[in-house]
Amino acid sequence: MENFIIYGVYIYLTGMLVSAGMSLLRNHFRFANAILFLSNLAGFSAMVAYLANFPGRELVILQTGFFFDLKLSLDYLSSIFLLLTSGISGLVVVYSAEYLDRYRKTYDIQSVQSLMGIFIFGMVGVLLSANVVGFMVFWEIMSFASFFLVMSDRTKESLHAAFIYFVMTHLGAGAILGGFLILSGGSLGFEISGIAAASRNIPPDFLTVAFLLFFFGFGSKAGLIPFHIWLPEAHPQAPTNISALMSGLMLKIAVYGFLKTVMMFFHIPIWAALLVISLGIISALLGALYAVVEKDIKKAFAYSSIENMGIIFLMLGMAMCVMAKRTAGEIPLAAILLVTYAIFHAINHAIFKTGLFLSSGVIINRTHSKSLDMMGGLAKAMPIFSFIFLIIILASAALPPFGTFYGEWGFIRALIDLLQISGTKFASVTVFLTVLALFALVSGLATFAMIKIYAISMLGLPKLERHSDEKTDDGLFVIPLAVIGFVMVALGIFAKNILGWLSGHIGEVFFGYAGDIPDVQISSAQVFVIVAAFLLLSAAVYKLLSGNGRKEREYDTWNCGQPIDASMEYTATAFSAPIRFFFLPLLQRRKTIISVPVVNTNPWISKKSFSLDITSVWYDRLYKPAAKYVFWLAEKVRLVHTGRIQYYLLLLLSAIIITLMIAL
Amino acid sequence: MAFIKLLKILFFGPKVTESESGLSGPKDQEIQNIGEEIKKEVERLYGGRSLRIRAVDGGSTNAEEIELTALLNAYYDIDRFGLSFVASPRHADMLFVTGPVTRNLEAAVKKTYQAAPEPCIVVAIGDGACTGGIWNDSYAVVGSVDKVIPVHIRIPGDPPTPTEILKGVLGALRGKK
Repeated sequence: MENFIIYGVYIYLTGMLVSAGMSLLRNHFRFANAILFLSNLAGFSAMVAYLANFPGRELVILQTGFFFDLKLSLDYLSSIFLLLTSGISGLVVVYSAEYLDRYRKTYDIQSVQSLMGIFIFGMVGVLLSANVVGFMVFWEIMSFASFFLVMSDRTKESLHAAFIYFVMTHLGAGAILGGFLILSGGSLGFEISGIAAASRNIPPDFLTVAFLLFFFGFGSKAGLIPFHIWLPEAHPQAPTNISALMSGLMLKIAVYGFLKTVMMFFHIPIWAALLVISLGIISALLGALYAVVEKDIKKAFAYSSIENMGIIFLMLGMAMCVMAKRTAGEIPLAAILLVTYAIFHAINHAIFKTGLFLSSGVIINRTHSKSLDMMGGLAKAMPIFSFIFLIIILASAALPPFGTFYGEWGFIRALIDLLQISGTKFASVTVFLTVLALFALVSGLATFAMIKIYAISMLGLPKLERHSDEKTDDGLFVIPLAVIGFVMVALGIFAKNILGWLSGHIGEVFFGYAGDIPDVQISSAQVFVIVAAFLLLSAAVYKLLSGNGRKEREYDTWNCGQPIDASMEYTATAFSAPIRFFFLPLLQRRKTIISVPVVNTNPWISKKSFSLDITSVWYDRLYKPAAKYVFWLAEKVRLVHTGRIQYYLLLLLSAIIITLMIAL
Repeated sequence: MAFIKLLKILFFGPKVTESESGLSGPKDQEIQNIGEEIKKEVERLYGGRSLRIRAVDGGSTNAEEIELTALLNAYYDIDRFGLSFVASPRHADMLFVTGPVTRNLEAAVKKTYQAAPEPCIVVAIGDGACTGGIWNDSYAVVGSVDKVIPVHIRIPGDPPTPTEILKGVLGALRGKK
């Protein structure tokens, strides 16, 4: 059995590389795609076998004596995330066979296919790596592949987005490497599983620095506000299948990294937990808000990713808070549950966000526009697709009976339990209550955003005539989406079992606790039955009220004799207007009215155009001044470079003297 | 100065209102009779409630509209016979369509007819609505109303007087069961 799993992982890794090479050959695109799919299948089945037979036991895949003792191994956490990665990548690969074929003119599909293989390879590598060198090398492979993928349509916006992504991801990677080096004392061969032990031995100041570096590194990869600046630019600019991989999987790699490092720390100060909580809740709130007001469908989904990553980090932050406050020897059961919910939410988010991005690809392929204001009426043209999209949308709005609901509901229950335990301590009650209130607001806003996207894009009349006629549900497009919808429902039905299974193992992995975990307090079967009964009942009531043998005639809505057309519909901008007005101080919009006189003699007769943008406060207030300062600094440094060789020699000499002074 | 002039006219000017004797002249007995019969028919057909009418302008010269407005003034006062105008075809039992149906209003006439609940009596009022009148064969008009929607009764005249309109309505109601 062990051999089967090890060979499965080998096949997975080599299959991806072979596919990446193969796709560069002319006319081998389909073949390379098939290989990539099959290797993902091999990886998936290996992970299923591992989790079914010996979850929790470390399984060494590869142990080398060279290259800083590069070591690949499997453990419980990495196998969970690998299961997710291989499964979702497989679906995305099937989708991209059709998707890339349709966009032959926009993208160089050979290189996109090849880079996609390398990108997945990098993610899998990060998850498999057992020591720092592997982690960082694969992390960079993942970052570089996705950097090239972001700019694969070679437009100006893509290059801009890719550049911001490049800068942010490398600042993050540098921070992560720094964090590892502090903990390992400068050794690249350091095993990541030794972090718990290492964090006991280093001074608390160093641990603080390591925490900050890790938090910045993984937080910027996960798109936490204010390090999110690259995410809403890069995710929408990439080809849709890559957006799905980036939003669905790459962000989870950041969560995995955070779980493997910071969550393993022996001691976490309370302010660190509060920092994670506050950035988490800010990301969740602002992400949801931006998703509500955004009218570019892919950008809205990208902001929804920020929101969900915020929620995951909020859950982890609460767990850290519980861990920081525990007394010695006490097993923090609440922390185990919170981490469980965070991982469960990460799994759910990976699946539904992939589904959402893949769906956005289908919609954009149909309407040839990213703007929600240009969509509408697709439900009639694509009935099967729109039904699946509805399921994914409802799942992403965290409504019962889907898996997402149980993650968030469990979190709320855990918060209420914590409130009860904390009693009358003012500080903790304030924190928990604030988090609870803001979290409720986030859930509401997220639901609003998702309902808006579905209603504006699918319902009503088509805003553009050209996509109204044909009635097609696209074959290969729909199959992966159907699988995702099915998985979302299944996660809802088996939520209780999955949560119980997860919490048992997580207690063991993080806290070495193998005893009983209190029940997760929700019966998914019950909720499912209630929801199903509710749906059936409302259907029956509707039948009863509407049928009844009365004579009925159907015709258009009365509109004073005018024809009804799409210009009368709600647009995405109008739909979100109340929320936009309410949160105006947070959002900073820019309204432009341009008035051009038609005839020069009379200024009153003029042609007016209006546009409304949501400006990025973070970019204008934080990143631009920072960039300006860096440029200013660079200008000052440039003064040193006089171009005279004697001067450089003098500099070298003084550098050596200073170094020797410090070292000796 | 102008204000004093105004006061002068107000207090010392000639009287413009009619004397009381002018108001109490003989009533137009014909309208009274037609109205009573309409009231009976409406009572028979609609069981106590009034007949509700929606007027649709299909592109008329407004002459018919002026006559329809006259139906509501103090002299004719058709409300007392159980006839009333409503603002939406959703509430109408009867449609008054005026004018030759122009191409721009063809859809509106059609949609109004579709929006009215069945059974709906369509009355074409005026020569334009009955035959197309002098606008027949123009590029801008579709023609008489029956080219667009079924018409139950036609009231010719350019424009027909209020009394003729009332007679037409009575004729339409008499045939109904």
